[in-house]
Amino acid sequence: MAGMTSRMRESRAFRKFTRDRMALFSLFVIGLYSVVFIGTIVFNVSVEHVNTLKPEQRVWLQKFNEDTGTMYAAPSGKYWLGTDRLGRDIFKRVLVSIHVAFKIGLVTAFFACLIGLVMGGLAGFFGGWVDLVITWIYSVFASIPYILLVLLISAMFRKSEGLLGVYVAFGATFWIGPCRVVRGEILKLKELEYVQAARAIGLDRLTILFKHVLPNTLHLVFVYFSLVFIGAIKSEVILTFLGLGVKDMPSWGLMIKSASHEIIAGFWWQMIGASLALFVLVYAFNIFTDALQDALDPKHTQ
Amino acid sequence: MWSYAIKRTLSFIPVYLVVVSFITFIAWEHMDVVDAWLPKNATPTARAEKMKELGLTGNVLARNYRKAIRSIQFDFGNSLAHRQPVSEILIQRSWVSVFLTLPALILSTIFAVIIGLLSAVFRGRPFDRFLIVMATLGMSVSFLVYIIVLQFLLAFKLQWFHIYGFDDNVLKSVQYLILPIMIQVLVSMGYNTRFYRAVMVEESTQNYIVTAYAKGVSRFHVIFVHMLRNAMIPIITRFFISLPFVFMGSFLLEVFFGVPGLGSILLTSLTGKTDPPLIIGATTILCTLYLLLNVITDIMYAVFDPRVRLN
Repeated sequence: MAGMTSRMRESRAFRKFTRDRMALFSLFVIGLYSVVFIGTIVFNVSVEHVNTLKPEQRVWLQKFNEDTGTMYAAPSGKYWLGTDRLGRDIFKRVLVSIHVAFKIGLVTAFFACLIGLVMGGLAGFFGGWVDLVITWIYSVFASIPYILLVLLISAMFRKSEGLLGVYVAFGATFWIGPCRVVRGEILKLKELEYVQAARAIGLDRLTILFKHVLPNTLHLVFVYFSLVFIGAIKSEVILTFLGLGVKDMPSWGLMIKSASHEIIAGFWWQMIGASLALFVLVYAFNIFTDALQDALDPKHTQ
Repeated sequence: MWSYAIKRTLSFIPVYLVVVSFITFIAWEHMDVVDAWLPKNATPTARAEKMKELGLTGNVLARNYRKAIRSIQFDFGNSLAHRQPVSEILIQRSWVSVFLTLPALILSTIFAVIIGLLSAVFRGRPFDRFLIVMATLGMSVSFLVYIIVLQFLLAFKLQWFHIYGFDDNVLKSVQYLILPIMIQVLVSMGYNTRFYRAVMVEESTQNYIVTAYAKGVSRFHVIFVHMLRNAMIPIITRFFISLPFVFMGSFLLEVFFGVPGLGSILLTSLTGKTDPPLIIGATTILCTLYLLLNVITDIMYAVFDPRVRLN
């Protein structure tokens, strides 16, 4: 890998990825979800309470969320996944829930990878007391079972509005993975000749780290971005189910929560709708991550 | 080896101190304890009295310092909700959790190691591809969905298992625990199988395997003796690292199946009325377990692999 320029690696990875038919299909599915996600942003439909909106938006949203008039209607040509307890179209809600899932996934993955990259990079590259301090901070977070840490932090933010609690809870737990992996990779990279050469010509150490060493760990960060993204979405559903996550937006977690009571009465469509939407997204992302790992990591072979 | 173990244990002490102090601070100061334990329209005097009763008066640092010092020594006091020493609750409840999660962990590890091994042996063939697809499908289903759907289908519709309940008698409780254990195994199978397959694939490319085949050792012997033995390190690591979760229990399973383990009680202490002594106690014990198991895992490395030098 050392002798290969990054462009060569990228084009080879690209070829390898596009040869994999399942990978392309998973990318297509993720693309569909992304289109719906962008749609929910453009039309601003992912709010449950209309009072905070401007009048013209409110009219549009009320029209969008219009009551179907029948509660617990079975799936039909008109309402593909039936309606729920309040007569809301479940198919529409399943789609709108993509908004909060993607939002939490993207924000968490971005911050977890950024923190992990910087901390792991500094620890691996500088060693000594920097490494000691960072591995120590990371042991503090790792020594509490991950799900307990998430619950603790989100319980702290129970009263706060919006998704801040979820972001902080996931951010604090998910950076550990990328940090550990980046640190390990940097420990290997910094012994390579090109880093020694960069030092010999007198480049600043921070410049070497951020311009020449960290970019070579990006393939790992991409994989972790995708892993954290999907991990956050799965955790969001469970956290929301427990009442500590999303409160005022349509979410698969909230849908599964009400569906868990309805299923005994024979109203299975809400359960199927929400869990299938979640499953397809997670499955597509798992295949995508595998393909990404295959394509980017020369050692990782199926 | 012992000097290494002691050194490593000592290096964990600062981590332990910070975790416990931090948890003590947020559980008492940032989780609305007073509001949780007062009626809705409490008078200011009632509020002041409650704060005094809970030890939330005086200097913030001083009072939390005192509480943290006690927590560090495993003196957690009485639970606010259960009016019982936290240490008693932890012991009683964590054993219930262990009954549920330890069999699940052991079964899941055994199945996943065997399937991972088979998958690695047939690497690239249809059988291996089939197993990978199944594992990926399995790990893509949410834990919640597994529980809700299987409880509904197997316990409610088909009535093969109890829907809910627990018995203090170990033997009698088995009938209640079969379905939750099955679900736990099913949930963890996907990840575990893929993990152990990767481990076995890594091992199967090593030179010693080629040498063993070249010497004429039978395939069965190579796979189940040479390969499995060398794969013991990652297997043991994963098993040990999972143990704190065993004591914590799976709160989702415990809530759905009415198993009175540590997980479900911890969940109510966080989502219901905040119960700081219980939260602090559970977190402290789990953190201690994690740190100790880390040391033990390192020592196991040296026992199983003579090449590993601990110093």
